[in-house]
Amino acid sequence: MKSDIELVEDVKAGNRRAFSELVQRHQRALLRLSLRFLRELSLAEDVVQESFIKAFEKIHLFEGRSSFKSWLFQIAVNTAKNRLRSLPFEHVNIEDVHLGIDPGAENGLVQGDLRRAIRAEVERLPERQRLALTLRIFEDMSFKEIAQIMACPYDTAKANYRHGLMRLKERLELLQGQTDWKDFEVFFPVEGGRVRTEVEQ
Amino acid sequence: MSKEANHTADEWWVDLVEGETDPSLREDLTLLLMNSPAGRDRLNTIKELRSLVKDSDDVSLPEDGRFYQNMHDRIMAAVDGQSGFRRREPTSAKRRSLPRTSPRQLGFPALLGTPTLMALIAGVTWMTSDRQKEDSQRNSLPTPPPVKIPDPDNR
Repeated sequence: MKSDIELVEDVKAGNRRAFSELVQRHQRALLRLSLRFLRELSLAEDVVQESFIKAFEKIHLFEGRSSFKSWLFQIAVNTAKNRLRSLPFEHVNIEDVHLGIDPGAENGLVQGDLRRAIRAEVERLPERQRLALTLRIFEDMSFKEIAQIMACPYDTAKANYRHGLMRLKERLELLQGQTDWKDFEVFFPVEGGRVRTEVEQ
Repeated sequence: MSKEANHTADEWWVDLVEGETDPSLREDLTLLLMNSPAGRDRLNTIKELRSLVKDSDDVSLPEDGRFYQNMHDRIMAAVDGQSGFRRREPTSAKRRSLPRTSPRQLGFPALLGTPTLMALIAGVTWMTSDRQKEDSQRNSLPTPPPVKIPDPDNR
C-alpha cells in the first residue's frame, strides 16, 4: 500500500486515482473533525468537500514537511472557522440553558448533565486552547501534529493544551461547587478504581 | 502552596500524563510522587479530568458505507469539474498529438500583435520600394540618343 506522500506525488503527476485514494483514507477523520466545530452533518460535509478541493488545488505547494493528514486537517480547521464565521448567530434565551445540577440527584451531577456540562465548558474555552484540547484528547494527535495544524511552535501547542485543561479544571470545580473529584468518579469510574500513580504501578 | 506554585505543579503533572515530561524532571517528579500525597492527588485529578473529557465526546459519525461512498463521489466530481482532471488522464503515446493553439488561447496579446505586425510589414515595404526607386535611378544607364531614320522620300 502506498504512503500518503507517495500518493501525493502521484497526484502531482496527474493521477486522479491517487487523489481518490487520499479522499477515501481521510474523509472519515475529516468529517469527525468538522462535526466537532459545526455540530451539523450537512455543514460538516460541505467543509469536508471544500477542504479536499482546496487541498487538490494547492497540492503542488505541499512539500511533505508535515504529514499529509496534518496539512489536510489544517485546511479543514481554517475552512470550518470561516464557515462558522459566516453562519448567523444563534440567539439562545439564557433561561433555556440548563447547566445547573439536578436537585434530585443526591450525588451531584447526573451522568448526562455532567457530560453536557463538560462539553459546554470545552466550547467556552478560548479558540486555540479548545483546538489544542480537541485535537489531543478527541483525535489522539501528537503535539507535533497539533503544532503543524495550528501553525505554531511545538511548545505553544503544548502550552495551549495545558492552559485549556487547567482552565477546564477550574471551571468544572467551580461548577461542581467543590473540589472533591470523587463525585465525578461515581459517574465515570476509572478502570480498576482510582487511577494509580506511576509509582504505585 | 501558592496558587502560582500549584499551577506550575499542575503543568508538570499534565506533562507527565501526556508523556511529555522533560527527562531532567522525571526523576524529581517520581521522588515527589513517592513523598507527597497531595502531589499524587493532583496527578490523579488530571488523569480523571482527561478521562471525563474523553468520555464526554458526543460526536457520532454515520455508519453506512454508502454515505462515505457518496461523499467520496461528490468530492471527486467537484475536483474533476474544477481541475479538468479528465483532460489530464495520461493518454497513449501513439494517440498523443501536438497541442493546438486556438485563437481564444492566444487571447489579448494576439490582438495587440496583429496591427503591430501589419504596420511593420507596411513600413518595410514602403522603405524597400523607396530604396528600389533610388537604386534604379542611381544605377540606370544613360538614355541613348534617339535614332534618326532617314526618310526614303527625301533621297
